[in-house]
Amino acid sequence: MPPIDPLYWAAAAIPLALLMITLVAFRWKAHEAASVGMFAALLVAFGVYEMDLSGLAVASAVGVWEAVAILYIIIPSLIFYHVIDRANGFDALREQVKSFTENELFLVLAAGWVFVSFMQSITGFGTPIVVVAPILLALGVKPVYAVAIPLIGHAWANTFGTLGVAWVTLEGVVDIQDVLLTALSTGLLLWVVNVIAGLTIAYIYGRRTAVRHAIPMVTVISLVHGGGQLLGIYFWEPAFANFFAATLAMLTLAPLSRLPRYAAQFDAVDSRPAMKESVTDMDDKGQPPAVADGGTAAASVDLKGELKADDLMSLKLAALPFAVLAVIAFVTGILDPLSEALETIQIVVPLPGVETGLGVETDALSASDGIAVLNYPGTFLLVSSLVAYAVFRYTGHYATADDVGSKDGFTTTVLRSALPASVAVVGFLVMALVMDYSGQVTVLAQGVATVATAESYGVLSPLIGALGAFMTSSNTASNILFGGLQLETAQSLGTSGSWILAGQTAGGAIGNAISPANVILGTTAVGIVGREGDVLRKVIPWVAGVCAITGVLIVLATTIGFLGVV
Amino acid sequence: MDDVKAFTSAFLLIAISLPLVSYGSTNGAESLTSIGFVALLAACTIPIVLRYVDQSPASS
Repeated sequence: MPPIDPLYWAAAAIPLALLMITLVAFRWKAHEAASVGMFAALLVAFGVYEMDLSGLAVASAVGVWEAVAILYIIIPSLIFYHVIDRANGFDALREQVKSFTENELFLVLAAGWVFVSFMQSITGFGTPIVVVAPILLALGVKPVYAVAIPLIGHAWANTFGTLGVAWVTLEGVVDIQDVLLTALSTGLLLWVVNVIAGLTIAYIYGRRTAVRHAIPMVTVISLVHGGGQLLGIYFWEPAFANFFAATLAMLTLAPLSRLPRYAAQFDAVDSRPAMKESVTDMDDKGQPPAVADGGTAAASVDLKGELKADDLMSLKLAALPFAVLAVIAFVTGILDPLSEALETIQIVVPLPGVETGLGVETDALSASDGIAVLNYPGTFLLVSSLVAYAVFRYTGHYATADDVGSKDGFTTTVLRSALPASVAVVGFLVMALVMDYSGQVTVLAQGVATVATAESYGVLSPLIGALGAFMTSSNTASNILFGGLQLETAQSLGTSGSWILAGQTAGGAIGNAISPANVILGTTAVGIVGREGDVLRKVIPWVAGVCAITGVLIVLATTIGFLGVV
Repeated sequence: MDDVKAFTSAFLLIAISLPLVSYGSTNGAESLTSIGFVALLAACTIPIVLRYVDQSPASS
C-alpha cells in the first residue's frame, strides 16, 4: 500500500484540485477540465504511485468501459428528449400543467423536488436529471438552474431510491451489526437533506419571500418524503421505502395544489432569479435571449417561435413517454423473474487485473462489471422514445427537421450534444479509475480518517461518502469503495459504526448532486454543454453546507447517544 | 477548427482504444495495448487543443 503521508496525500489531491479549479474557478468546459484532470491523474499515478504504463493503459480502459455504461444513458436520454421536443411535448406539458395551478413556485417544487424524487425512486443513473431538467426549462426556469434544481432535489433519494440498490450494496459489502438501526439513522439524516433541498429550491426560485410561501408545502411533502421513508424502512423493507414515500408525495400534490395558497398565482415575490421572464422570449433573430447567470437554452426553444395552444397535444399524450419509462423501470425492478431473464445478456470487456509498484492490486473485470443491456436505463429510454415517436407520429404531432425549419436532421442534432459530452464523461471516468487503481482514492480517504478523532470523525464521514460519489457518480459505488474503510475507522476510534455508515451513505447521496456525470447529463439535456462549471458553482455550496450539517448531526447523535448508540 | 469533426475524431479514437487495450492486455500483445492507450491520450488531448486553437488570434 502507498504510505499515508502528506506527500502522497497531496499528490493524490492534485487531479481533483486541478479539476475543480479549471471547472469551477476558470469556468472551463467539462470536456476541457476532464482532460486536464485525467492527465494529472495519469502523471501522479506514474510518477508517484509507481504504476507502470501497461497498468495505466488497463486502468484507463476500465475508465472507458465505465464511461460506456454512462454514455448508454446519455445518448438514449438525448434521443428521448429530442423526440418529445420535436413534438412540442415540453411546451404541452408546461401549458397543461399550468391549467392545474398558475403558481410557478408550486410547479418548480413539484417537478424539481417531488417528481425528480419519484423518478429517482424507480430509476437512477442520472435518468431523473435528464427527464426533469427539460421539464423545468419548459416551465420557464433558466437552463443552469434547470439542471441545478433537480440535482439538489433528487439527492436525498439516492440511498433508498432505485429500489434501494445503494443500501442493499452497503449491507452486502460491510458487516453491519444493527441493520435496522443503521437504516433508521440513514433515513433520519436523509430526511434533513430532503427538508433542506425543498427550502433551497424555494430560495433559488424567489429568495426569502418564496421560502415563506413554500413552508407549508415543504413541511407536508418532507413529512411524506422523510417520514414515509422512515415508516417504510421500519415496517416494510428498506429497498421499497423510498418508492413508497416518493409515490405518496406525488399523490399529495393534487390536494396541495387545490389549497388557496397554491392554487393561485404567487405574485408577492420581488425577484425570480431562477426564472426567465417568459419562456417564449426571443430576440430579434428568433434566438432565445442570453441571461447573465442562466445561459441560453439551445436545445429547447430554438427555431420554434410562438406556438398556438390549440396545436399542442393533451397532457395525457405529453406525459406518455414519462409514464412508459416509469412503468418499464418499475416493472423490471420489482418482478424478479423478469429482471433475472433480462439480465442473462451481459456485455463485458475483458481486462486483466493490475498491480502497482507499491502493491495496490485490482482484480480483472468480471461478469459482475458487465452491462445488462436489456435491463438498463438506456434501453428503457430507447423503448420509451420509440413508443413516444410512434404515438406522436401517428397523432400528427411529430415534426420533421423541415417542419421546424432546421437544417440539421435528428441524428446530427443528437450527436452535436452527445460528442463533447462523451469526451467529457470518458475524461472523468478515466481520471477516477486511474486514481482508484493506483491507490490515490484510498490514500485520500485514509488520510482524512487518520487525522480524525472519535469526536470529529462524524463530521468527516459524509465528506468521504460524498468524495466517493463525486469520483464514481454513484452512491452505490461510493458505498463499495468506502463502506469498509468507514466501518473500520469507526471501530478503531470507538465511535458508532451505525451512525458513521449512515454518514457514509448519506454523504454518497448528497455527493451525487455534484457528480460530473450527472451534471453533464443535465447540461446535455437542456442544451448548455460547456456550462457545467456554472451549474457546479450553484450546487457545490449546497453540497458542502448539507455535508457539514449532516456531519454535525452525526457528532451530536453519537455524543448524546441518540437511538441508543454512543 | 470544426468542433464537430474534432469531437467525432476524439470519439472514434476512444472507440478504437478500448478493444485495442482489451485485446492487447489479455493476449500479451503489448504493442496493441500501447497503440490503444496512445489513441485514448490523443482523444483526450483534442479538447485542450481546441480550447487554445479557438482562443488564438489567428482563429478569429
